[in-house]
Amino acid sequence: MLIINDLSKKFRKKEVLHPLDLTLDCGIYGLLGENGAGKTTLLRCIAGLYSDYNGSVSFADKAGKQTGMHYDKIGYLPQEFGGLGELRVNEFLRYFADMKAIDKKSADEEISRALESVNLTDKGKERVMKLSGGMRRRLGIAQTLLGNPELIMYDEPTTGLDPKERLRFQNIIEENRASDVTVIISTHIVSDIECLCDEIIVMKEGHVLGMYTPVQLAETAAGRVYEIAEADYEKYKEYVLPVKKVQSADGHKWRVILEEHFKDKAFEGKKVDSTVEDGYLWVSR
Amino acid sequence: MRIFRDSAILLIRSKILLTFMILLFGFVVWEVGSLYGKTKFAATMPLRNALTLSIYLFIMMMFLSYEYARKLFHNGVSEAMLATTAGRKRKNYKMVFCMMSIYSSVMSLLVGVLVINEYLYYKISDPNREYVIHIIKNIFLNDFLIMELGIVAGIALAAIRKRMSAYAVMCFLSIAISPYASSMAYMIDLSDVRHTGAGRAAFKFLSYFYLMPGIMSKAMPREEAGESVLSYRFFIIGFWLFLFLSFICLTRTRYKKYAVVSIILCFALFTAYTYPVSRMEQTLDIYLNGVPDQIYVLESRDFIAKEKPADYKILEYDLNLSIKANLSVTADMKVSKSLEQYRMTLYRQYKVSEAVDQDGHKLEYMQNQDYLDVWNKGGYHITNIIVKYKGSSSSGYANYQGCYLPGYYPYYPRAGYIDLYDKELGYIKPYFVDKNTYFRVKVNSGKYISNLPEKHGIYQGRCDGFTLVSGFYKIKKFENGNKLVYPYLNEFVIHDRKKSEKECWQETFDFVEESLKKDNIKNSIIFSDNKILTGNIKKAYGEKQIFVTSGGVFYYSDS
Repeated sequence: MLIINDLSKKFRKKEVLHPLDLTLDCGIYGLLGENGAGKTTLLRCIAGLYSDYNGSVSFADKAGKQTGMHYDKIGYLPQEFGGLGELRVNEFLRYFADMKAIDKKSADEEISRALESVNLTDKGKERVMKLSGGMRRRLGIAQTLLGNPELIMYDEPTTGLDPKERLRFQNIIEENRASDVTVIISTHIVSDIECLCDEIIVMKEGHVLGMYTPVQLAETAAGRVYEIAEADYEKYKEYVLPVKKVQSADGHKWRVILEEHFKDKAFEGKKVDSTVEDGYLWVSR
Repeated sequence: MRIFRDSAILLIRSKILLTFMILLFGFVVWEVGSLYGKTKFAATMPLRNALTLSIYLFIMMMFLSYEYARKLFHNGVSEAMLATTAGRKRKNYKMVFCMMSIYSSVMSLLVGVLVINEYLYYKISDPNREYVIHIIKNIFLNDFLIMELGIVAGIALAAIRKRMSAYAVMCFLSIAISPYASSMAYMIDLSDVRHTGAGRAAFKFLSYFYLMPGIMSKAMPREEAGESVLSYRFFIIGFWLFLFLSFICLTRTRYKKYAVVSIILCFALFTAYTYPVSRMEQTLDIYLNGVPDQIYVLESRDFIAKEKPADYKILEYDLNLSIKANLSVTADMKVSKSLEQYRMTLYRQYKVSEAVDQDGHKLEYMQNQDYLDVWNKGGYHITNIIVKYKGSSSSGYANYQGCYLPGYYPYYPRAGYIDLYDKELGYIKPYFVDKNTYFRVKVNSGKYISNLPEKHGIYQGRCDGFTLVSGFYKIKKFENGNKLVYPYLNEFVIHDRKKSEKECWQETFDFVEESLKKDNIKNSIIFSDNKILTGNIKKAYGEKQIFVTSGGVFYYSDS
């Protein structure tokens, strides 16, 4: 269990994380927010890459023993992950196994299991620099699985990946879901996490706006999501939050969320079911 | 072993790292290879070659460690590794191990060079333990520490993300520490016909980059003292080391707490470096090496030449010499007359701090360049004048490592004003005192050779000038009580490259002995002269008493 108490972080005078409290039990958590919301900073604080923050971050293991940062049972995939391309895939993972102080005997076994998990078993002897972007990302995931981590963090894991690779990423996470691991996936792409996460933490400008299950997040906008004709959009522009333009049988339409300050009951739009994306936009408006 | 293997893989498979590695080893091998022909030539060559390597070691290590550190710091892998406690510890070890593995390979090569050359040196020359220790000290300072500095510099500069910017800084550093920078400053100085001081300023600026041993300038080394391993060399290297460490601490969040300590040490070492000391190394810096007298005489507007015989005599000198970073002297001089004014000559870089008479009455004094006036305004009856002074001279150096204070050199006051310099060459002409002058000289602990006999740490007797030398000197005894004090690393003795150093020295000894016999000289101590001061010695001191040999210029004085 990850326990964050009154955590805040400043870069010089700019407060990038406002005091926040979080308690994350085992499960998969999504960290959702726009660029600059403080997601990476939060993950780096948890990973111990920043030590000059206020508040506390601690981790309690299965037995309830609480330890301060840093702990060894952690897997972290940073936003930018590459380099050491001279090494072969096997060597690369061995390098990490060595860094994670995994003993020699179990290292080989763990490496082959990690490679299997990310479908890279046949690439073991290839140089890292020769892998495609998606494969490198998968390799990044594989290194997080080494050492039986109890906390795994992925920072924008699908950035730059094609849809096929993104789906593959989701499958890998789902397949490796374990009952005793806390996984945090930071992203600004809702579709990456809506089916994957048990709970979603919404962040904006350094604040945690709330923690919701996907259903709860979708429900925050329930009854307010409409589809309106493109021609009406200009008319209601100041009363609605645009979600996206959609194409339907009867032409282009706008999917919008109706703002609270709209008082006119004669709103010409078709009410539709709210989604996680709508909920996120509504919460973070 | 896995750590070494991974590090090696990274180095070997990365083209840029491999290129630097090949260049580094290439330079070392090239230097080693070039030794063979030279070793026979002079005993100083093994050390000289090992020291010449220092610039390659620094530059290559800096670029190599920069590339390696950059690879580890800026690839995202670093963050993933730092997230675990073990990664945190091991990443640093890994880095250090990797650099150490390169370093140990280079060092083992260097040790190999030394062993081979020491062996050859022992075979061709007269072995001497103190010189062997000196070689080890030099290698530690100029290869080991310089290489460490290169590693730290590379790691520090890895904080600069843009490779081009980092390379620009590293290229600037490489040029600034190289002899080319001094050559450029020298050109500026030469072209400074209006005496704006641009050349001096350029040399002053470059003095903070004197990381390389003086030998790098290809200027003539002073073999009798050896390449400098004096404290100031450690200070300048230490200053840069802690400057880069401070930079590392400031740019890495985790190490910020150590920055204060590092910055304090950096300032302390810088201050220590700027403290004036008696240096002995030769660089292209014309203000530091052996020719500042030339500049002073030929170019300085301050230069004053006076010639006025004294109206008194100094009958006895009681000198208390303290040789540390500089020369500190308390000179108690017995004068022949009590006068109102005493005109004296003392080399301008020795600064007088006090003048008193035999009863401790303070005497007024004024020092103007090489001339010292002492006034007896109190009208005391003066039998002795005691003058305290301290300083260093570029020509007649005196420090922990060695000293060369020939009797004819004005490092102790002389009666009257003397025009010290040869106007054509700017060298100090040799001036001796009356041969019946009595000297009683106490020198702080150390191993010295003098022309006067020593008893209980005090040298005393009558002579025309008190000479004191220390460093890599030996004494050769001849018939009729004659002795030759010679710098055994003087490579000028090798006049015939087909002969070994031992043979050349033997020829020189034979020549000196023959000359002494011919002139019927007995019971004399002959000092081989320092090259810097030899300019006009022959003209000034007389043909008969000078022996010009293939080994250099010698003079003698009666003991």
